[in-house]
Amino acid sequence: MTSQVSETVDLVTLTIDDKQVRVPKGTNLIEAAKTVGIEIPHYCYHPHLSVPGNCRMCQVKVEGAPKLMIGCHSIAQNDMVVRTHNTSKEVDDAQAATLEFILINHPLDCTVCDQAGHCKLQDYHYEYNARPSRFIEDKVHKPKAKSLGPTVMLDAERCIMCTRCIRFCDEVTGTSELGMLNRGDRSEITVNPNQELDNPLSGSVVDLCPVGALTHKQWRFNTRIWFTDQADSICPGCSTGCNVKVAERDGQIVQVKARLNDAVNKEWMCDEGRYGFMRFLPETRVLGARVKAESVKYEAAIKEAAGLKAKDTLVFIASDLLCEDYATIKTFVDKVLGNAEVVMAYRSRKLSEVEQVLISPDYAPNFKGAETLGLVSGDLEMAYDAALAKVAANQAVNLLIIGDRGLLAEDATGSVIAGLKQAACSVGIFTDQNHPAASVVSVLLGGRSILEKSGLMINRTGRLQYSAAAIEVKPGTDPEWRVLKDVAKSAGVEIGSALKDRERTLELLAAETKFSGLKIKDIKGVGIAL
Amino acid sequence: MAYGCPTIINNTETLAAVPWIIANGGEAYAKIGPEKSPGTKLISASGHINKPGVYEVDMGYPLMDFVNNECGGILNGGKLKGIIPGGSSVNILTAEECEGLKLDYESMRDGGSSLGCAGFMVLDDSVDMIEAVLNLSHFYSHESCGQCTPCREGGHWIEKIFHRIARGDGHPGDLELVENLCNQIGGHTICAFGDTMISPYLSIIDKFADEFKTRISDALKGTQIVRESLNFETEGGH
Repeated sequence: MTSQVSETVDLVTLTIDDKQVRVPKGTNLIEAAKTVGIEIPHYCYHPHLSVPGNCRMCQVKVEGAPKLMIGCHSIAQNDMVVRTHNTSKEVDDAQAATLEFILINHPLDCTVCDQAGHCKLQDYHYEYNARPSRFIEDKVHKPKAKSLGPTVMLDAERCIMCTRCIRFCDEVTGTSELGMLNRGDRSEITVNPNQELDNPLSGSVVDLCPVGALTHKQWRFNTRIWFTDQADSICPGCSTGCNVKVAERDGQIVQVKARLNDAVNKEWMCDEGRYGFMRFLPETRVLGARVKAESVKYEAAIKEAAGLKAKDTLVFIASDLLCEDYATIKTFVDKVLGNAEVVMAYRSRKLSEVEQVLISPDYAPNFKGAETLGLVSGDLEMAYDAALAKVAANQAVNLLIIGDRGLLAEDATGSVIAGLKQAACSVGIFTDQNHPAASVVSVLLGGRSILEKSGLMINRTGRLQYSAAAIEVKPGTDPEWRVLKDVAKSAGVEIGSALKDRERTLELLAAETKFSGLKIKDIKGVGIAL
Repeated sequence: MAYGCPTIINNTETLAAVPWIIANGGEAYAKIGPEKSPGTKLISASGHINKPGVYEVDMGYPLMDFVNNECGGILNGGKLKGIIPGGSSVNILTAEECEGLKLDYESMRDGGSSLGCAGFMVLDDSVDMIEAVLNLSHFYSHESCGQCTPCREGGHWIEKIFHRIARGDGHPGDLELVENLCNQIGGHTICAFGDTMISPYLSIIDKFADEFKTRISDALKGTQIVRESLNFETEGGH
């Protein structure tokens, strides 16, 4: 919901906990309360799934109604007077009762459950109940550690039967692998017979599960969430630009969660992006500089790279560089290089119907950023193929490849490599030592992964988003923009740039007319449609 | 019934009344029984009576006349203990409360129960009320669809408490706990199942409180409780 409401949208005015609230017609009470900072706790409700109203956690008192109403299914009306737990003991007791009921059969697994520390049952218990248990009977027992498919593990005892996972598979992916077995308190989530939970977005059900009933097989038992540092990043897998929260511990990505963004990814993420997040951070880093396969000092490599100056250069850029990087590259190309042709290593791909729900038909997270900043335009894939053909035909004079994904591994064919070798001056700024072109370019410098940088990206629909670095920078590496700045300096050209990520972002926002007036705090969170 | 098309659903009893009304006219039908509950009712009488069965009676027919005449009185000359007149989801009536009540909606409501669907269950004094409520709670917890939290979890919890009391392991405070849980369930569920489930529990505990209290205090004293248990599983998850 944007803060700007057009005149054609009808508004309703109501009171929640004695605060006046104005929301568009059709808003439910949970969302309405959010607008004035009041939390109405809930499990089964999700803004992008159908409303089942089964958890009974979001009960509120609506004056004039004979019973408590559920906030998720009650639509705000004019002159409604609503009371939440803040101002109604009846609601407070009802919510405490709901929690008591959920907890009676819930196993005492906290000490071994991955969800501990980010569990809505724990959080709400402390917030809305915190009363000792009165249950002294035997708990209901159900299967534990049951595999639902290649990515997800089920613990049926922990399940609170909110049905979010079932509804996700029914309504979002349309694959309907999950269902409910039995009834009453013997109800169990299950996967259809002879089927697996294996749709391309399957990991999203783990994000959706409020408790530890569904866990990621890949990350099971790997860490406690409170030992991790978390970053609000943008997934650099494709140009959808899913908003994610990356949990890092000791330089490893230990969990990736989707963040809520109504305009981009709702609260979903694809498995390829989520479970393959570490693929953007190669194990074998390029540390230190090399000239013609010999280790040299950084300064010597820079001097050698200055041989690009004023020559016809073919520039390959990766699609997962930040807008700030693209701005620096543009300045470099304009001021340092002679006749330069810039292409982006862009590949489109065919997607299945389910994949199309979320994934973009490319592997290029920030191609729009490069386009917006005037680096590339037109049919990117065609331009890339043409450039590759030129290299393969030994027609490239000078080459500059920026980023591992500047030249895709599958395109580093024998003739392309040969073409690289024959170039007068070829400069590669890579992160992966094992990149096929790393041992071929005449000057090799170590760059940084997108996961180590904070800055701006523009997704396929033109949304400007801010991605925070998930991993600390590897010592011995240099950011691409500094390499270019130093090469320029060595060539006698100043292309000054700030030193810190944040300052570079501010610089870019100030410099580009398209971003005029924007501040980082406006962009953080859910981004801005340009 | 064709899927997705407008469908009318009626109880068979309703449909059964229609031919008579068509043949004899609505006015004639309305003349039967009291003004506010006209017509006839099919009573499904069961329990400790000599002649169980389905009877059609005029609305407003005196309840005890029905028991003693049509139903042939209490089985083997036994003593009436209580009646659940309208299906298990209504309040139970003690033998005393049954005096003077008539089989129509208003009279039953004024008498503290409901005619409901007229699932008429007669209990004589051989009935252990704790076993009776345990049987009912087993039914309700088993039938709960499981969608909403209070009925799904609370229903079986209450059954487990009754089971514990029945087998001689009741604690002081158990009855208050059941009452409290009933109030946490009623009015907080998706459908009326939660509301109806609590009527038998609350009314049986209330009207036959002494039996429960005795069973609990006997348990505390360590008195051996010999129980001809109803043979169904009430423990654990199934």
